[in-house]
Amino acid sequence: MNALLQQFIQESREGLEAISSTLLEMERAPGDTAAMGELFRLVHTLKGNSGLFGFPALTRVLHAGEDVMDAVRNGELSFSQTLADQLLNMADYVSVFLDEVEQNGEPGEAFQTPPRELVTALRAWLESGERTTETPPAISTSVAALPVPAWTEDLPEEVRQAVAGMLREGLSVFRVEYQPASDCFFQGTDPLHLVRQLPAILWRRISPLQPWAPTAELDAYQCNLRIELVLSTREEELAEHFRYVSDQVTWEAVSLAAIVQEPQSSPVVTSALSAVDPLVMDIVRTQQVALSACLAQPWLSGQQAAIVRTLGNALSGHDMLLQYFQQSLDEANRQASSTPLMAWLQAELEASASEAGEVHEECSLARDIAGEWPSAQLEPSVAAMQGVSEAVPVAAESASARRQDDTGHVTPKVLKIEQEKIDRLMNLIGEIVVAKNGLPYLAERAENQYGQRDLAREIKAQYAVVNRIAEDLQDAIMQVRMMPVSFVLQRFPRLVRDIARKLGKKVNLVLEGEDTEADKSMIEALADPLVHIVRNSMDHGLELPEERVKAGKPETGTLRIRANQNADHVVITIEDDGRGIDPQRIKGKVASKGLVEHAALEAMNDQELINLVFLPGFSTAEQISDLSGRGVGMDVVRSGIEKVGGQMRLSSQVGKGTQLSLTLPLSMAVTQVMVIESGGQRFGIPMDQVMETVRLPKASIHTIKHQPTAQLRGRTIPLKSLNQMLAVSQEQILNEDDEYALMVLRSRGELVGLIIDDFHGSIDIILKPMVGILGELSGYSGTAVMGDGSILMILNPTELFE
Amino acid sequence: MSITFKKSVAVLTDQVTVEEAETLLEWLLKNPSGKVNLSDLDHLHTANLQVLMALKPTVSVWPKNTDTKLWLEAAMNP
Repeated sequence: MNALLQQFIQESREGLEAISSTLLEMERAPGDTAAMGELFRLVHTLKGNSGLFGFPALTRVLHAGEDVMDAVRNGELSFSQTLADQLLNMADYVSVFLDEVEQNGEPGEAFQTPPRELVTALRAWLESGERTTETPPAISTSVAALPVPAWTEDLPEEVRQAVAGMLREGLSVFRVEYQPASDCFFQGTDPLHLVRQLPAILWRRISPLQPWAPTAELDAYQCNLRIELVLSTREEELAEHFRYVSDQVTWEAVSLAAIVQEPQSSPVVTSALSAVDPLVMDIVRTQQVALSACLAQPWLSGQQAAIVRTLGNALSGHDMLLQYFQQSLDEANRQASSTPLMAWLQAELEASASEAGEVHEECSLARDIAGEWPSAQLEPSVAAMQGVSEAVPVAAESASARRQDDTGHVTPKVLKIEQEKIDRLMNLIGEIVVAKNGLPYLAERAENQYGQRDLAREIKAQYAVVNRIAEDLQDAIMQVRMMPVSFVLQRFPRLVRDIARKLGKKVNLVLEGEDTEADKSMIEALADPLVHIVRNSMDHGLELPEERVKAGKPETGTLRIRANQNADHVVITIEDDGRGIDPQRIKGKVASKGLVEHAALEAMNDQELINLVFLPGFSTAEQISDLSGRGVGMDVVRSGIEKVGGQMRLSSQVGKGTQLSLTLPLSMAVTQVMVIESGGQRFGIPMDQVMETVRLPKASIHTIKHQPTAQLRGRTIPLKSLNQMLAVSQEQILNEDDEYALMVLRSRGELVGLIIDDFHGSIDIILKPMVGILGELSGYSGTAVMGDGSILMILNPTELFE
Repeated sequence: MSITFKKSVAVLTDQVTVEEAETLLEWLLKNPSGKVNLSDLDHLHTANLQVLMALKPTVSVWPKNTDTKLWLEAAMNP
């Protein structure tokens, strides 16, 4: 199983636990809006995640749950214990689903199609809830849930025959109704194309959802269609085919009874029911109201069983009616849902109300059907029905027992530890690393101050042992926090595919070095910037196929994401072979936006011009696209990377492509800093920014345009004085040879000289970011505690130079 | 372009893409008695189908492609 799926399962389990506990909390305090919001968020997250893996059944169930929670959150639906039961059922389903996926790596046969009863039950809440404010909830609920069978009447006779033939052969036939979202054209969906891909379509109809707008106001890009199909297929295939639009598609199995009989059913029914004793009618009507009140309960609950029994008894004197009732009951049993029964009751009552008095002859077709439903078929279901009333409580009990069981003894294979605990462990280990540094001093003192050479040697030997253990410890804790880069890279094949489709581009994504490992916090910090970079590459970098062919390139563009380890850094390179960045265009853009002074722009070389894309407020896209033009510029990406101590380098060749490389430290835990002194204070400077330390004669400093500079190995380096930058009024100290202490630092790819007072050695420290008011101070990346207990301020040269 | 607009007939051929729906709509609005020739049409994007359904132009020739024909008939002759 891949790591991403594993992560998904783990996170989903956590989500489920949280859902269960929040639900229980809400049962205690139903008005708790915070808990409601939390619950919605949890279900929403689960749903979103499930979409990543193409589990249509899971997504569909969660989607229904999400809608219900949304209604509760918005106060359209009131929270009740039965609703909580339903949501817990949903959680159970998700849990079983996860077990299945964890065991087999993918959902099995039984999990390919969404559990109909669960989804309908959840959706039923929504429908009944929406109408709670209106009068008679029971009746209107059922109207909404009614599958109006008008389509059967429109079926041509030959189709009807064909369907009946297939059903008799034991093939399954479905009626699909697809109502594309009105903005579906903007999402790149072509509903007609989608349905045309379905095999063995027996009947089809496309009709407007709402009357067409007056021709002058017609919007061609506002989808207003309902597509209906009758086809023979397997339910799993339907679920798979419509997995991306699962919320817009419904389907139902077509039964033989529906296909052959229904056109005539209403007149027949009318005659049947209108001939019935008004008292019986009354009973039937009452049962309908009762049934609609418990629509949401799982079929067949005790209440529903009682309704079924009452209906059976009431209708016992009317053979035709009893038979229809039995058919809809069979369908209800098959679907494990009360909807068919409800639909039948509704149709019966409506027909009798509107067409009361009209008497029709029973047609021959109906009699044919009657012949096809021999009593032998009816008996078992009656028997089953009778047995059901006893069986139901047992089933319910076992379900709740299972639920308890689930929470009772979970045997986790992976030990989940809160990050806080790991962080604490890491801090402690870091302190050992620092504390052990005191031992060599102690040894020195023992020898020099007290003349205890043997003791000093022993201390040194002990130090070596402690040192080794401390280093191992540090290594071990790092391992715990290490994760492969694939954790973030795995989402890209799907992302790239989707974006490519949306943009009409052809892209081949190549991932390399996915098993390169880095600290968890690094990997997580990498996710968002990477997504943004990849989107940028695809949106602005890679060209459309035609354009590529014209430029003499292969039609399919290549996007390469490569990760590799370079000493104590992870380097991630994102490379495309697209149109590249044109420095002159950047120049024009920046000039027109007035982001940089004209003279400065003229002096820039191509690379410097390209780097201007990192300027805040810069965006090369002419049009704001929904992909990368969301106002999150490259400057945000870069600051995200820099925040975790990384660096970003951009290079590009017009017509050839663009390359972005991110360099990240393997871990942030222990940082090596160079200790320096300036203005009588000690500071630390991160070692990875220090290029060299030199002694610079005062005479070799030249001032060019008010900027002191120095020539160093043939390069002109701008000089800054640390005292001046920190607003310390002292001059930097010169040594006896009239030389300054100069540190050459690399900041955003450029060298800058920092004049200080003196150098001290380098040490390992644990960097603690500053919090509170100090946290807003720029120029410092944090503090560290030294071996002797003093505090060392760590400078952030990049911020300092800005 | 897979739509050729003649004097009174729009000829739809091969694959008609989503971008062309706007043009088709405009043409049909300008030529209310305009006909459509679908003879060589293989597929048209749903947006175009919608335009045809809403404005109901006379179809001078139905598609040769039987599957396409079935779908168009299902949409335009309900």
